[in-house]
Amino acid sequence: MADSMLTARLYNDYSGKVLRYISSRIHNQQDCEDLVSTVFLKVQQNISNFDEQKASASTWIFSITRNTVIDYYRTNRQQYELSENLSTADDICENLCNEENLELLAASLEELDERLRDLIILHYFSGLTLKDIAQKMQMSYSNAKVLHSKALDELKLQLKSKNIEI
Amino acid sequence: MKIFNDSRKNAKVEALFDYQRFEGNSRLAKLIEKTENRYNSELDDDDLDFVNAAGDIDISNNLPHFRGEN
Repeated sequence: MADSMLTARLYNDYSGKVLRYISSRIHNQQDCEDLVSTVFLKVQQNISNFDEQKASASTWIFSITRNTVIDYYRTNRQQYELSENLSTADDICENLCNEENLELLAASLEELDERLRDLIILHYFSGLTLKDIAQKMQMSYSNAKVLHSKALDELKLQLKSKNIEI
Repeated sequence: MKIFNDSRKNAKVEALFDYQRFEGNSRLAKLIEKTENRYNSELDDDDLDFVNAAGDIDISNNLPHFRGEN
């Protein structure tokens, strides 16, 4: 009984976030809805192994969601290109992916020069290649690569000052 | 060599932004929105071909001599 109540609570708390993440990665609405169901079926099946004392529910469900999307990508290889980093992110995310670190990332980005911040966001969130970014920001591709390197160095310094190593 | 290596995405930064897609931190979302608005609002020439501020596909109906006026 306790497991089913916990599953229901997690569904209430996280189904919106799960849908948002899946929708940002997959553009077929029916598939998105099916994958949300798949995620919470996995949650239900593994709920007895989940210990809230040891891991945050957010990170656990995020991990299940991301792996579900990766499985979908592998099934639909022709449509989707799987980022190498995405497929190996489990170890990275375990200690890194939490609300506090997102807040520190935001604070660090705010310290950057606007142009460097824009490049980081366009490349890492919007998913643009450095070639596309060069075009949008009206610079050469070589310059975009140099700027990317500089932006990462400055972001690393800012995050390091907040005790996050990247 | 350093530049070519650095053009590859940093895995931890990518992981954090991937988590942002899930968690939706509002402070980070605002920064993202500002950046995306800044660059998505600049249409290139190809996109401009498909934009018509009046919303009419054929603007000739709005010109007096096509309506038989003057």
